[in-house]
This record gives sequence, structure tokens and C-alpha cells, in this order.
Amino acid sequence: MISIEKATKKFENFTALSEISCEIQEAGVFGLVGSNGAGKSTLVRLIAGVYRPDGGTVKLDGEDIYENFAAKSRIAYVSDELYFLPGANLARMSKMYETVRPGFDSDKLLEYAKMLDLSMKNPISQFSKGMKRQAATILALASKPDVMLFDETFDGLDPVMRSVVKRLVSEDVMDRGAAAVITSHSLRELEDTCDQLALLHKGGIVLQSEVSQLKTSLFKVQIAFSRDFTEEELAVEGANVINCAKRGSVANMIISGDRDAVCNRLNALGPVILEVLPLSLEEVFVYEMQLRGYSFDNVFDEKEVEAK
Amino acid sequence: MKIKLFSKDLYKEGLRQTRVVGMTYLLITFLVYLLSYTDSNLYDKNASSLLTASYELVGLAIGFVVLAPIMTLSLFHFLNTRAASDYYHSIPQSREQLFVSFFLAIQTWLTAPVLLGLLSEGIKFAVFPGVEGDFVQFITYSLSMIACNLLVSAAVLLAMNLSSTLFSQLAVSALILFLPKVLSIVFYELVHEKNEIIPYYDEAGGLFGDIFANKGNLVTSSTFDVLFGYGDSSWGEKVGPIVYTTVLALVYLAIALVLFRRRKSEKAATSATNEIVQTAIRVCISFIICLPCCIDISMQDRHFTVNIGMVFLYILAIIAYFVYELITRKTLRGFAKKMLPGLVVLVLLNVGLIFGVRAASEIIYAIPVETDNIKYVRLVYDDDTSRYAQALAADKKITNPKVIEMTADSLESTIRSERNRSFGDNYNEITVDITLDSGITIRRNISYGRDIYNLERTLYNDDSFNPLLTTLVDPDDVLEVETGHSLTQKQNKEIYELFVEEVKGLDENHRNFIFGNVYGDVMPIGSFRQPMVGDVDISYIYLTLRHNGRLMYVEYPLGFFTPKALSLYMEYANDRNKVSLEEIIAKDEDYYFDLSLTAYVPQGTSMYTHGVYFNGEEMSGEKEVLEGYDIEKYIDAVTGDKLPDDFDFSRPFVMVNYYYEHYVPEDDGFYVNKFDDGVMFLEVEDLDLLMKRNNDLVEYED
Repeated sequence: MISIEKATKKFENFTALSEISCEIQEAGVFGLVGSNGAGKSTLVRLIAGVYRPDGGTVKLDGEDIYENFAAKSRIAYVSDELYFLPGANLARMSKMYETVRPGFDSDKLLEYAKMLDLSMKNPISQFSKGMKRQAATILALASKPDVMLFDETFDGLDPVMRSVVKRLVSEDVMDRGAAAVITSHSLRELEDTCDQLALLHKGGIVLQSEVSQLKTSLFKVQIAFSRDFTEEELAVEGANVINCAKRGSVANMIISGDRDAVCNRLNALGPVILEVLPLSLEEVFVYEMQLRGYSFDNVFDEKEVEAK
Repeated sequence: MKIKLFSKDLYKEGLRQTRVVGMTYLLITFLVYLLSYTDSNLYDKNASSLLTASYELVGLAIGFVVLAPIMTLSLFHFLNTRAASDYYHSIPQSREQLFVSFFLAIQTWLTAPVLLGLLSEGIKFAVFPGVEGDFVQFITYSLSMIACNLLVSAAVLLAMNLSSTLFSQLAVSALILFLPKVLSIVFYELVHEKNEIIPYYDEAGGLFGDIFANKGNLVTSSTFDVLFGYGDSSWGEKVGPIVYTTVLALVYLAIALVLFRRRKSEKAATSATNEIVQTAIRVCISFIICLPCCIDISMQDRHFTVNIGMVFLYILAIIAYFVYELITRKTLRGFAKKMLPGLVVLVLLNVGLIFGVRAASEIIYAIPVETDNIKYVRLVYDDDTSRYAQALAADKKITNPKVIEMTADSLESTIRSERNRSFGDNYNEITVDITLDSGITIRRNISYGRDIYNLERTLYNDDSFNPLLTTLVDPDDVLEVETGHSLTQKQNKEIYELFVEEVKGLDENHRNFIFGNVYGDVMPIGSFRQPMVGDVDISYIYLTLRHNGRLMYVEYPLGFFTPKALSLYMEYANDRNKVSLEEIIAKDEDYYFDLSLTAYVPQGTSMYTHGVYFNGEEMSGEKEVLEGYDIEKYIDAVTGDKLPDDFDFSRPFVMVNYYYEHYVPEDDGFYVNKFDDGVMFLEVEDLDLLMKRNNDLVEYED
């Protein structure tokens, strides 16, 4: 649906995105994760048609998005810095959206507002930060776009509201076959919502994969022997041991490969303990990055996100 | 590809977003117009309700002075913040549609009160009998307001597309609107100061004046007129400035649209959209501070001296250069590399202005003007003159060879005197437009010296010039006639028509008297008009007419050379004022009454005013006898004779001017001042007897 081919974006002397390529399919939720300054918001703005790419292309169903009003009419964008008309309430914003967005459903907006207990009459400036994000989200949903872009929209919501809003988005994606792109600092936020994930780092995509594949392709194995053993013994043909830490008679390994084959092979060594443990998505990402030659600390800084 | 420029939905959205300010403005103007209908003069058919556009509609200036910038800054605020800018870039609307639709929404709110005012005044003209004035003036005034609204909005919008912070936008708006005018005034005045053959700014014209003293921009001409006196006092009356201002607005708008279309969202909240613009703004602000120094240096003739003020200002200009950068970009980091080109430009501008003045002076003197290459000349008066005779004379292309020769010779000697600095030889100076065979027109102050008398005589005798001034205005072309004492328009017009008939039969000397005011307006010094014995004018005929789209005036004396018209005037005056006097006398109130009397005595074929006249002493207090002062008897004494229907100017008569004033107590304890004045004309058989009667009645204080 959305194809990004070697897209580049520069701001004066700074390159925010460098030859990024990816595909975003319809009827799915695409997660974009990365640290501050990775280029997430820039990429989302390229997709929204807010920025013109300095190189490469950003297309929706084969058509360039920038300055393409037909394409933009199918895209709803919720920025990380929210915008509402000064002094407006949801009813006023509804009117404005009706003007600028064809297909805007004001009844749907009303329905969403009731669901989230948001007042249509009170000025949005009186809303809390979380409520403002909810308001922006339901305005986007009520526009019934084919593509929804949420730039760190859920990061400011409390856990309960977060799950409600995510559910709304997911249901909308399923019902209408729309595509949603969600950016976040936090993998945990995206883990249970997204079908696909991409990791952005310093203006480039370093990892992109289906979430299900990520979770199954990498796993942790804890093995213990009653005898002495070497790390070399634990090598498994056809699988990649990314990390092996031996402490005494116990070894913890991170392995990429076929789970059953690995288990069979290791069982054949006669361990006292053999356990296969799932990895969190964050751990998967860390090790996948290592596989690709990246080594960094605190890419997903939860403390920083919480402080925000 | 066809580009749609307008979106009805965006236009309505624009109206919605600015509705608070717009509707408040509309409501206030509506209430003001409504209130104007409480003016009692509108309902009094005897009162003259003279409506002038500048008075009735001047409040609408708040539109372009205050509201146009506010509404433009408000509606296009999204250019200034990242979040808003991103939002508007993400919506599926074309940039052109957004720009045009929002702009038109602003103009709708600004124009509606103007049109409402026009409608309101139109109703007054159509419905109320006592209303006088010229409705066309209201139309041009309204169009002028609309043009100003357009220009200010367009300039602010252009500024908003060049920079993205409120501070810089306000600075750039001011620069766009006023800097060109400031520079052109400074340049013009410097050239004028150095070359006295260049006229004053108020009289600027010709090629040089049209470029550097152009008053076509209605916004700057009104602003500079109010603040500094550099303006056009006929603001709102001419079509030319409306067109100029509108075209300028459209040019600004077109540039703004191109910039808006190309503008990147990421430029929001930056002080300028690119480094060139930022540098240009810095340079302009600093240059303004340098102007006094440039003026000082330009005015120095031979020896260049530097004074402490100059040094201070130049230092201040450099500081401002850096301060602007600091305020708008909040840092001077990296400025060292960027500052130099701007400073170089600043220096070049200073040098350019100073040497430009000198170069202009040389060009002025270098234009060859000789008898052989002058196509025609025109006399120059105030550009916004409202005197019809001057307007006619100014339009007249004079090709009289003697006038051309005198002009060329006088210009040459004026220049020689200026070059030699012998200004004592310059006198009898007038301003003249000289059109050369090449088509160029130059305007010069020329000292004709003693030749001025020849010039006047030549013009007076010129077969094409003289009749221009001595043809009376056709009564059908006259908008309004006044003769002095609140007669009705119908009466005044009747008097004027009779006047026109009588003037046709006058000889040259008497006609000279009639057209004395006209010659006085037109001729440089009016030297040839000889006052005639017995040329006493009792009143005047003051005409208002429209010429070249503007209201003009001309005045003729009403006197004994047109006895029928004069007699009719006196008869109508008596009818009106007798009634008025009787009403005054009938009031049982305290009042102040003043009478003055002038006697006219014929002698031979001339009429003299009698050397004796008296004024009534102040009569105030209650209507009682105050030591011999009895108002009614006093009035009876001087008005006791029957009022004549037809005056015989072979007999003496008196003109009685009265003034009556009294304060009427209102319920709230305040007093309202009511007053009236008028004139009456009485024939008296025995002037001496009349004077004796008056002297008996009045006791003069020692």
C-alpha cells in the first residue's frame, strides 16, 4: 500500500533519513520504533505528505503522496505535537474536519467521544494531555482514512486508556482494512498491537520484520550439565548461537533457528536441565541488532519514556 | 493543469475562524451607522445636512490600521508553529485554495462594514430631503478603504511567508509597507534641499516626482499624512490611487502565493525562510538607523565632517544588526560567517544613497531645456487643489511661444543663480511642468523675476488660456450653490442662473471683477487685476462641482455688477431671515443679540460703503429694558420700513447682520446653546435719519 523507496530527508546540514526503504501493507498495524532523533517522526511526516523527500519516493498505491490531494485524502495524521484550533472544542474541530476531510463522519466522532467520555462542548485546551491525544485519535478515526499515522500518540496515555484506544485502532483496521502506522519509543507499547515492526536508528531502518516471526525466530535456551562442557559443544548445525554465557555448569544461550531442531540436538548431549525460554521483543531486537553488527546501550530507554 | 483557486468550504472555515473579530467589527459599525440617524438635521428640511465621506466613514480606517493585520496574523497563524503547519500541510486541500479562500474570508469581514456604510449613506441621500453632498465621493472613499484593507492584508501575508515568528513578521510587514515610502521621501527631500529648482514634496511631479514622491499608495499616504504631513489631503477622492493601491496589493498577494505554495512545513517558527531573507531584514532595519547619517552627509557640501551623532548612529545600526539576529534566532553561533555579506550591502546602501543624491542632482541639471525643445508647459498648483480654476489651468497645455521662451530663459537663469549660490536673484518663483519634445515632463521651481508680469499678461491675452478661466460653470454641472445665508438650493440655483445671464452682457472691465477670484487663484501674483472703483461685493456665489472625479469649488462675487441676481438674493435673504428674526423676538427666553449695520450709498455709477457702522451692545439677561436697551424697539427701529421686493441700487440701502444666541436650560440642569445668524437688506430714504435713530438708541460706553 505504502511504498518507501530510498527516501532521504535533510534539514540544512543534518540528514534525518538516509535512503530508507520499506513497504507498509494494508489491513495491518505497522510499528516504528527508535530512540529520540532516529527519524521516526520525519518518516511519518513523509508518509503524511507534510514533508517532501529530498531523495527517493514515498508512494501510496503507486502515487506520490506529497502535494497529491487525492492521496492525502486517504491519510489521517496525528502528530506528536497535537494541533487544535485555538479555543476550539470537539464540536468545532468536527466542523473543521468536515470541511477539510472528505468522508469525515461526525456521528462516528460523537460515538467515540461518548465511549471515551470526552466532552464535545468543553474547550480542548482544558483537556489533560492524555485526553487531547484521545481527541486527536478519534478525530483521525472518524475521518475513515485508508491510512492512519500515529506519531507517539499513545505514549502519553494511561494503561487503561491506552488499551482502549489501541483496541479502537485495531478494530478500525480490521473492519475497514485500513493501515495504521504507530511510532513509539517503547517496544512494549507496540508489541501486542503491531503486525510488523521496524527499528529506526540514526536515519535508517536497521531491522524490519513481522512480529510473529521475530518472536519465534529467536529464543533463549538454558542448559545445565553435570559434567564439564565447552561452549563449542553447544554449537548447533543450522542454527545461529548469537550469545552463549557459561557459568559453572550452566549455560545461557540466545539462538536463532528452528526451535525443535535445536532442542533435539541439545537433548542429545544429555543435559541435566534444558529449558527454552521466550524472549521479550526488546531482547529480540537487541540480539537481532547484534546479529547485524550493531551494538548499543539503552536504545529503548524506558526511564526516559516514563519521565516524559 | 487547471488549478482551482477557491474552495467554498475553506472560505467558510476561514469566516468561522475569524468570526469573533469580524462580527464584532460589523456590529459596532452597524450601531454607529444606526446612531447617525438620530442626527436631527437629517429630519429638518430647512437645515442643511452636509455629508462628507471623510467625516462619515473615517472610522473605517480601523479596518486597515488594526483589523487587517490582526485577522491576517490570526487566520494564517499556522505558518508560525510546527504543529499547526504540519497539520495544514497534511490536509487534502491545495495550497492555492487554502491561501485564496482564507484571504477572501478576511476581506469579507473587512469589506462588509464598508459596504454597510455605503448603504447607510445611500439611504440618507435617497430618503432625507435635507441631505447635501456628493455621493460619488462616498463611493470613492469606500473603494479607497477596501483597497487599503487589501494592501495591508497582502503585505502582512507576504511578511508571514518570508518569516515565521510574530516579531519578525511584524518587522517585515512594516518594512514592506513603509520602507519604500520612507526611502523615497528621504531621497526626494535630499534632492530638493540640494536643488531648489525641484519643488517641495507637496508639489512634486514630473518624472522625478512621479517616481520618488508618488502618493498613489493610499496606506502610506494616509499614514504619513497623519504622522508627518507627507500625504495627500484629497485622500479617498481620486480613482488613480485606488487603482495603484489595488494593483500593488495584488502584486504582493501574487508573490505571497508563490512563496506560500513553495513553503516547507519545517520552516515554521523560524525567523526567516532562508538566509537571504534573514539578511535582507537585518540590513533594512540597520539601514533605517543609518538614514539620519546619510542625510547629514548628503547635506554637507564641500567639507565632509564627522560628528558624534553620526558615529553613535552607525554604532547603533551595527548593534541593531546583531540584536535582530539574537532576538530572532536566539543565538549568534555561526553568525560570524553570515554577517559579512549583509554588512557589505549595508555599506553599499549608505554609499548608494549619498552618491545617488549627488548623481540625481547632476542629472537634473544635465537635462537640456531650451525654447526649441519645449513642447508645452503647464502651471502647477497643489496636486490636491480643490479650486476649479486651478484644476482647469493645471490641465491646460500652454503652447504660447512667448510663454515657452520666458520659461526657458527663466529656468536657465534660475539654474545659474543656484549654481552660483546667488539666491538673491531668485524671486517671483512659480512651479511649472515642462514637457519636452522627447515626451519627458520635468517639474521645476522657476524664478521669473520681473518677467512674471509679462507672463501674466501673456496668459491673460492668450486666446486659448483666458476663455478657459472666464467661462462660467454651466448651472447644470453644479452640484451645490451657496450664497451665504441658508437659502435653499432651489433659491441659490435660481440666483446663479440669473447671475450667468447678467455676466454674459458685461464688458471686459466688469468681467475682470467677476473673475477676480479666478485670476487670483490661477495667476502667479495676480498683478494685472486692477481693483475697480465701486467693486463692492455684497455676498458671494460659491459653487461645488465635480471635475476629473473630484469635488471642486469656485467662487464669484455677488455685487452690483449683476444687480438682478443681487436683488433676488437680497429678497430671498429677507424672506428667510424676517421669519427667523420674528421667531427670535417671539421667544420668551433669555438671549444674547448682536446687530451690525452697513450702509451702502450710491454715488454716480459706483456704490460706496458708508464709513459709519455700529454694533449692537451685548444684550443678555432677561428680556427687559436695560437702561434704554429694548430689543424689540431696537429691531423695529432698524427694520421698521417695509421690506422691498425689488431693490433699486440707485438709492442707499443698509445691510443688517444679526447674530442671536441663547442658552436653553434642559431638564438635567445643563444648558443647550442655540444660535442663528442672518442678514437683511433694507432700503432707507434718509440715511442720516437712520444713523440718528440708531445713535439715539444706543449708549456707547466710555
